[in-house]
Amino acid sequence: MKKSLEITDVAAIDMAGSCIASVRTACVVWGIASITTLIAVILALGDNAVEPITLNMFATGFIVAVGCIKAALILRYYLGLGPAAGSWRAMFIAFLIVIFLGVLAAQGVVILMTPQAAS
Amino acid sequence: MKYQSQKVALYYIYGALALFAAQILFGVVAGTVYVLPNLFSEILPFNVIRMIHTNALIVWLLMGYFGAAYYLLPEECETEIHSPKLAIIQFWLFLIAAGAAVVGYIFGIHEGREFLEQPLPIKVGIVVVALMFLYNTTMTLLKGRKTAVSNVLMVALWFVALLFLFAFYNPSNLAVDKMYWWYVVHLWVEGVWELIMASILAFLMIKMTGVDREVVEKWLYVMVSLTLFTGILGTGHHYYWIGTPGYWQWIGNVFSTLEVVPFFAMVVFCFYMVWKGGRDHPNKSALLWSLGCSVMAFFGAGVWGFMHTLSSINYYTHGTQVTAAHGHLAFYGAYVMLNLAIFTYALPYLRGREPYNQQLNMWGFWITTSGMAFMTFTLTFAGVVQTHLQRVLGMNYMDVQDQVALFYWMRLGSGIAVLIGVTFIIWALVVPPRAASVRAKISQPAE
Amino acid sequence: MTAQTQLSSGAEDNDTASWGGLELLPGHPIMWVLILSELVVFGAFLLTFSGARVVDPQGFAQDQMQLDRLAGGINTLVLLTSGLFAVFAIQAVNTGNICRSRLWLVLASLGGAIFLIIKMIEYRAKFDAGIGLESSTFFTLYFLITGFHALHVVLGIGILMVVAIWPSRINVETGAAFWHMVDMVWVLVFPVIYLVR
Repeated sequence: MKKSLEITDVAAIDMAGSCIASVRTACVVWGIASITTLIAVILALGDNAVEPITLNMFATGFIVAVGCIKAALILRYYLGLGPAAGSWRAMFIAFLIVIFLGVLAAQGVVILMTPQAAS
Repeated sequence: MKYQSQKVALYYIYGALALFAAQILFGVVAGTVYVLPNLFSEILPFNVIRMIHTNALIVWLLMGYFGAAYYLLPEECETEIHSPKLAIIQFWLFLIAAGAAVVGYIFGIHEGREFLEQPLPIKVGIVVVALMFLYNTTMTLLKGRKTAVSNVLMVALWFVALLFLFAFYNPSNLAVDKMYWWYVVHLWVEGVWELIMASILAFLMIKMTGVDREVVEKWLYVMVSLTLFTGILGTGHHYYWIGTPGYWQWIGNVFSTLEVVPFFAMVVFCFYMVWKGGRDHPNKSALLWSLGCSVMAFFGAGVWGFMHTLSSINYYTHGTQVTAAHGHLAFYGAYVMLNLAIFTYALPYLRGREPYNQQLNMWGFWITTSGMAFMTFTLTFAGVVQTHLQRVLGMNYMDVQDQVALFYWMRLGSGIAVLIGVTFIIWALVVPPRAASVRAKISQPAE
Repeated sequence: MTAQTQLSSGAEDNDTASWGGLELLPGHPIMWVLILSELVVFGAFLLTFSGARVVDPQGFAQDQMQLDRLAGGINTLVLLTSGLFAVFAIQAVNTGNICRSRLWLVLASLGGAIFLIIKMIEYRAKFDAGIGLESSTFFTLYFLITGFHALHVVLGIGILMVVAIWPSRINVETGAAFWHMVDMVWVLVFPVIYLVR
């Protein structure tokens, strides 16, 4: 175990520079993610609907896509899931795509089931 | 065999095999009673037969783990067992407690709590046995080399003992009773026993494939993480329809579905190690048991477990023959085969012989495994029919049992096949062939 | 060990004596096994949530009206900022500045604490309105998913604290990796539970 830890340590040192973002990149990522979040909250607050509404596919896709992109940014720049990760990276991206498509598909079914047209 | 004290494992292996034989015999009797319901009804009621069948299984598996630990710890820790004498006393105490429990069952002395039927004094006896074992093995571990295999095995065995303490708490409210009951039953077989399984398989792979210990240990860590991650909250799949709050359905659905993953990881692990190792280990039958164990555990515990793990399906199948099908294949695949793998591996070294009676052992493997697979199929079909007639159409329980009688006959047939297979296995393990005793040569383990 | 075995395992040392590529990522590889498992579980829960919504869209829509989107949004900002601090902690330990690394780790876990306080206020409001874990499918899943996540925040704070005591490079990277996973999960939970309707 001891030995393997050391190996990992060396690998981490080698990859550290390229994997985890520099301070500047991290700040840019933070800025992008925060601004999209702020916009989402402002839009949500501006909506004074008393009755529940059903979002159309485009709006839903946009909301979930923004979430997934934020997650992807965190993965890439905060977690350091760089190109070195190889097929693992594909696995994480696939995970995000599955979430995106799954939520979107559910929304599609909800729209079809709701009698009044989606706004 | 490098260490003299490993020999104490022989007691446990032979004891386990004797109880194994008893378990299978009582299984066949129970299967017979299923089709001839009045057989033995006066002298030995079905509930007692079933009790002996299940209890003997659990006790011999535990005895096998004890034996495996006594065999494997000296090699892993590179030191003799702390006290071989204590190990032998522990064995006899355990065997006497198990025997007393069986005799008590026959006379109707039991607590009536499924699988935990042992009367209080027997339960106390089991705890004393566990304490003796843990003291002995922990002292061995502490004075020797600490490897991932031995650490995982010991942590698991400690938790086996600790979780058993929940067996002493028996609240009168049936729903609450069941909640704690699963702390023992589920967290054993889908928690810490899986860790035992992973560590023993890891040991066998290190020894038989010659793959580097570092590689095996990494796999072991991953399997342990996946097991604990999915297994602990997977307990939720027992809390669907027993009076526990509704949120357990969501927890149980998600986590228990993922319980397939560690079993799948074990299949990949075993086959990958054997493929990568490419070592021609002389003990072919032990290798067959190890690989077979991972595969049948995946099907029995993983696939057959998943079949009725979703709450909406379990709503209909709860407590039908589907459960029996899953229970039989899961116990056989995961834990019976695991024990037979380590027995098959260890016995030639313990008795100072070349791997002997391999052909007979492998015949036993195929006959028993086929028998169990067929039994699982018949019970699954019986369960599906039963679910439909009883839970969907609302027929009476006993009327439904009449309808599925054909499946019970086929199950009895497969049970007899299992009995024959097990006879082969035990014969191959216990009785030395005449030719082999002449060339009594010890083949050294790998590494 | 035979010569052949040595050869074969030696040749593949780069490949399999490692963690199959996970060792190339920051932090201890077993943390990545955990991260992957966590993502699968939270992903399964989010898909379950979407699936359950299909079964009862009206009920879900009514219940969702009672969620506090502002609190959810603020919590997203809090976690994003806290995650940024965790990145700073790694940068600090990379340049050998242990003190500064500790400071960032503490600030990151402070972010976690603020998240938890806001979460508690949110839960309190629900309980005061008579809404509980068993009120409806929506709220069962809401409490389970956000509750599981909140437990991970608690655990994450603990990990960051432990790492702050022993801030080796591997420790900080491992702790931060867990923290980013918690962050990332929330970034997905927020739109799916609070925003999509």
